[in-house]
Amino acid sequence: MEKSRAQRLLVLGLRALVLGCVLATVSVGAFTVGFAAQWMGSHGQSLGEVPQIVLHPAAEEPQEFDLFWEVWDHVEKDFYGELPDNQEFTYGAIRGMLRAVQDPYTYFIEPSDHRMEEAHLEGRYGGIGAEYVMAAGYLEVVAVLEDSPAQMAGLRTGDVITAVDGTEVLGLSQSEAILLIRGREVGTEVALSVIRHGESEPLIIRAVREQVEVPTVVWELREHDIGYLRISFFGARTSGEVSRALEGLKAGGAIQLVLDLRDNPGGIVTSAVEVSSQFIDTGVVFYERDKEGHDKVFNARRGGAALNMPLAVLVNGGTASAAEIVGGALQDHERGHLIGEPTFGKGSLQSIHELSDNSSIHVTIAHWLTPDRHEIESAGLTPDEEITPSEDALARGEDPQLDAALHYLEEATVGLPDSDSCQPVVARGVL
Amino acid sequence: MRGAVKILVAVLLSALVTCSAYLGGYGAAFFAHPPSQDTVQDQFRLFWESWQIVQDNFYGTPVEPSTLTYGAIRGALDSLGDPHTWFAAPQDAERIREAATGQYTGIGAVVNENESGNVIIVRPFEGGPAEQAGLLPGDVILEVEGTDTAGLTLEQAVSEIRGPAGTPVRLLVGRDGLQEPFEVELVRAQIEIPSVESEMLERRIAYVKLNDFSANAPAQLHATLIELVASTPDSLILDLRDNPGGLLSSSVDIASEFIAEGIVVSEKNSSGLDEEYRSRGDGLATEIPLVVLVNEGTASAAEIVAGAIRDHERGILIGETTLGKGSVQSPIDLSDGSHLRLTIAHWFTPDGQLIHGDGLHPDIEVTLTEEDLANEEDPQLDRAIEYLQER
Repeated sequence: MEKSRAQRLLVLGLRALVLGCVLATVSVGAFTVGFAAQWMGSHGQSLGEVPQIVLHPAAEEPQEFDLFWEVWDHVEKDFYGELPDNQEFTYGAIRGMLRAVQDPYTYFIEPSDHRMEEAHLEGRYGGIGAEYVMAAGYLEVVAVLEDSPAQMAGLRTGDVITAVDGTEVLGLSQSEAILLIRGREVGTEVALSVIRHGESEPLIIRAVREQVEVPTVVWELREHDIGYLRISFFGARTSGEVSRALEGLKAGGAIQLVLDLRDNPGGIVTSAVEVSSQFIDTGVVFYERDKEGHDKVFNARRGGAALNMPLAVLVNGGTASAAEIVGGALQDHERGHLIGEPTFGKGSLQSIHELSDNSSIHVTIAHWLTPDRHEIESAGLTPDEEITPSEDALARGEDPQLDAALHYLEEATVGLPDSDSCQPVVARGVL
Repeated sequence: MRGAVKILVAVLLSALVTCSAYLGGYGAAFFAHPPSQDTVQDQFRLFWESWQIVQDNFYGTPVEPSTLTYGAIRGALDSLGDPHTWFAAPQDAERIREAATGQYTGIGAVVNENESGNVIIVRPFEGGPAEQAGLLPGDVILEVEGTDTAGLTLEQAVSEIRGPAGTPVRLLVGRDGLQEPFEVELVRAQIEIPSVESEMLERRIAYVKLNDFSANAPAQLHATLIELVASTPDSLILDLRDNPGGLLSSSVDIASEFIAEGIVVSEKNSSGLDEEYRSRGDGLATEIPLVVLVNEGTASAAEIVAGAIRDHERGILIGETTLGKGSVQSPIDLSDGSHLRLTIAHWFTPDGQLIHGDGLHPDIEVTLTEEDLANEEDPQLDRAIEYLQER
């Protein structure tokens, strides 16, 4: 009895042991499979989502950079407060790195701002033809262009836009809000929720986006057959606009010209070369010196429309960058008489590099020298005739710089050039 | 029949065990590595693209990788949106460490920058080389070793003036009322920044001014209190105005001089854990009637002490609302000698108040006007004396 009971216990014990082993094996196996399923799933997924667009090779991480991760480990472990998301954190690191090169023109631009900037450089965007400013958290309409979709839809200056296509404007930055209106294709409709003074109910204004072009050139014919041509910015279409303006002025009988580059912040360099070529037939427009010290020559293109017209060029402290290239070329070729104030002194070239998420960075890659190899950066251009308008004159709406230019040209036509001007006198009708 | 039931039970049991084990494994993996849509490495690729663009294209002196790294660190820290978290490169870090110890080697003077960008002596320290050489408050240091200080930032000028103990430094000094600036040569010495100043005022009122909460401050205060106690004052004024704070440990040590027992301050860190700092006991001024002077320059560790004295009803606050810096930073020395100051916690007064952004409101509000300053009057101190006499 005792024996058989012990045997039964032994058998029971063995069965329990076997069952336990089986269950343990199954559990461990299932645990492993479960772990692996999640592991593979999460990692496989994130690998599949790495952006594939490669526009620039990424640098190898140098050893010095270990310190960055050392700092960030501390932050992740101990920082009291909310951590930024990966994008904010990365943008922050890029901004900080670019600040460390200590060049005001080397900086980072987020994707939304970058799209806006491209549209501005191209001088065109899909929009409705209105200008806005952010006021008290909302977009206020400050101008409505003639014959624009905005005007046809009934939008007025002073209207306050509270929402665009149902998206509240409050809480957005100015560029974000404007991008809601402009940032889509031509032909699409935009619905603006508008508060108008005198209306008790908000209005909904619907307009269809079209290609709106911002003119960069203004011209008119003045007395004494003097043409006046102002370039406010060197955009992609500026050269064409200048060309048409010169045709118009010549057709109207202009024999001399005031080229107004005041408060022109610059723009695209090729546009500056093309515009300079309207006045200079051959020779250097400017040199671009790279970081190795090599000078790349930018020559005038033949066939300009105003190669011999007496020319006065207006410049001031707001004349910068591409506008200084034009002013410098005209001055060094003794082709134009510079009147006004010393220019800004922004003689460096930035290239815009698009990153793989559509953000971009501007990097200073070269400095510009005038044909006489005069550095524009910091130094700027010194006018041949320095005239600073007084506060009083400005308050009265006078323009002593333009007056000086007109005076200079009048003297030039009657054969009495300024004593310090070597410019040839061109008789009426030579053009 | 019984066999079938047994089999069914066995199958169900194994299925249950298998399922729970699977879920357990899945869960363990999930918590070990939470799924993320866009990892730091993916996003950070943009950074390396930018780095390469700068290396390949930037016009101007090539920038050292370490400089770019420091910049990237500063930028990444900016994205935290916390003004108290910052980074200092090795050279600046050295001076910051010095400041925290309350010791450095130099000429022994508090300096500032004047309107023309020169260094002006605010106050020479007692017994320091500047005082021994006869420099006075208001003297302008025009040149350091022949370098015009107007062309330097205050930081740069200070680092020119400082140097190893025993080395000479030549200054060109301008003084109001003197036609010509004069030259003076000082020998740099080990300077201990005085954290505590004290005096006995009229009617047996002891006055203690605490300038900072450096590592030396508690010992200096203790020595000062021993001296003051010897003259058996009736009451005490603790001046914490324009005290920017310093070390948390110093604030606990200093509060312990005035508070016999209980919590001085508690902090909550990023993992939500609370830590309490209690009075160390054995304070020298735990009974004496007390007034604390505060203003908007009273910050951080100084607010801890003022808050603890108020909450324990050990004394009243007179002056203006304090700055309201209720966060705690950890000073971290990094591997290359640079320095990280990281916000790691918020602190709370003994009654559980978070003063961050609000500051401590004085029990008796007395403001100091521009006019008072010009007339060298101190209505806040006057009010404190008045209060202690009326008591």
